[in-house]
Amino acid sequence: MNSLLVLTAYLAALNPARTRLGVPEDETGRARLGLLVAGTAIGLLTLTGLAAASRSVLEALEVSPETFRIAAGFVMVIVASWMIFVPVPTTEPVPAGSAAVLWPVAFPRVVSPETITLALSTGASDGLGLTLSGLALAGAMLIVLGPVRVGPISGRVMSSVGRVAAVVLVFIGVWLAIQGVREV
Amino acid sequence: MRRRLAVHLSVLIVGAAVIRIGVVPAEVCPVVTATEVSASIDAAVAWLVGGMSAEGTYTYGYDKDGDRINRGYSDARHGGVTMSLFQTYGVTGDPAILAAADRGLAHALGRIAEHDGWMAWEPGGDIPVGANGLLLAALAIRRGITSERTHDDLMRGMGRFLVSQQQPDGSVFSYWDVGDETASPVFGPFATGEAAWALALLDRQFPGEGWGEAAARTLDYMGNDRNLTEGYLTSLPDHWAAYTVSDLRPDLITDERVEYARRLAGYFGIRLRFEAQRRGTGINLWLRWYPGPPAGVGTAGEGLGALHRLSLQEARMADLTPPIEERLLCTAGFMVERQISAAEATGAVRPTLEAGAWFYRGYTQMDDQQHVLSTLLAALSVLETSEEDR
Repeated sequence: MNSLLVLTAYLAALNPARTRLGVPEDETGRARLGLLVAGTAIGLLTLTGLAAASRSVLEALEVSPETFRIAAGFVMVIVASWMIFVPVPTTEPVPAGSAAVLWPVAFPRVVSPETITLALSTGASDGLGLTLSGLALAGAMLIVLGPVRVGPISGRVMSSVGRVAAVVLVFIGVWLAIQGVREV
Repeated sequence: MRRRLAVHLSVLIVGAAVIRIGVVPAEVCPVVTATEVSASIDAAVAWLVGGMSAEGTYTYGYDKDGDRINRGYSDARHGGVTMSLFQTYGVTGDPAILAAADRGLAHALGRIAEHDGWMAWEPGGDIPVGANGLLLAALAIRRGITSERTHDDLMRGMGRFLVSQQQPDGSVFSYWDVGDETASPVFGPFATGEAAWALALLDRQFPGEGWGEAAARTLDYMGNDRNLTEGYLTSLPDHWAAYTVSDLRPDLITDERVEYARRLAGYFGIRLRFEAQRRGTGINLWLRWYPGPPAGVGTAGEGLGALHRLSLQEARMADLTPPIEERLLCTAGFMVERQISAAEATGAVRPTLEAGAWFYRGYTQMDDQQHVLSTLLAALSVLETSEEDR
């Protein structure tokens, strides 16, 4: 994948607009910023670790990076289709204290099937540098959206943007699968 | 909360399992050494040569489950096996293989027709382009190795036959009608590529006579118009096209032809990755079916082998060298494992028709051995280079 496509893929897979709608909020309708930042950081670190270990992981699974692109493409198309029909994530119960950093922010909002497979795929095929750039960009976008108060209009805008990102993710998933078939 | 966490984790785990089983099963690539690949080559050659008749034909096919020898024959496959024996001689230098290949050659050379300035092997009935293409390729490879000029006139005559079958758009009619004394306007799935490759090889033996330009014309047709013209729904992963582009004179390798070569490498790559996923047992059997017909696996392997040579010489293909080598070695690994060994053949009804062969659901055919043999020759060169480097 070229750089632009990798960055777009991460933006579409992490889908900051949609993910923001699933982050615990305070009474003003804004995301609990501490939770969001810490959860996103932990999620991104986990994905970075996966990307860094992607070659070894795929070797252990006896799957070539080219073939894994097909799997990543499948996962993205399935998840993105779900996102199109369910543009707002389910509200998850939030535990008290700092545990909310891990659940539901780091997992399942940041670390999810589509981001896991994308990190493994780009980590093995496109290099760690580009993967980190994609993760950082998408994570930054999510944090930037944190202070936005989710009201009736802003919420609708975010879910619409999330839907558009999901459509983009469908195309990227199809493209990835085709690439996986066409590569040697 | 725990219930929701369990739901998410379950989706993740079940989803991963489904993807693992259905989309990306393990690609099993047994490690092989050059010695093991050489032994496998020797065994395959022994099957081909051991089954030759006094007339220089090969054993066509054998069904081990029913102990039935297939008495049919294919002239194109005769040309192909003879060609692969010359390829093998080029790598091993074993004079016994040259002698066997020459016997196969003699079988065809006894029936040469001449017409309108060209010469062609006429095995009976209409004259097939594919069989002549492969026979000419065999002659060109032989001349390249031995430097003998015995068949030069015949080679040029056969080249003229292939060019006479070529149409202005580069397509190639696959038969010459003996009755009507005209080219029959029909296409064959592989004859086109076989003719193109033979012309590319002829150009290497007789430079400056225009054979390369004719080969390139057909190569362009295969890369662009063939699917539409000949009614194929998908692009034909043609290993003979891969040989053609690899053996084309360097000044004829344009960007467009390199692009075609890269596309071909992709077709062969996915075919062999898919093959490496096949176990033929349990749930894998339902999802991936039996390990594929050896000739099919072999054509993809030898196609990649040809493109490997190109990638070593052509900077625009150089980035494909590592993945091509990976696929070739993987293919060599599982095909060496799938070959029937002498020990496995002990106690068989016809051990000599089992040992050294690759079977697909109990049946083997001469072209199974031919195509896998060519794949193993390509893999051997990769292995020898990497073992020397270590």
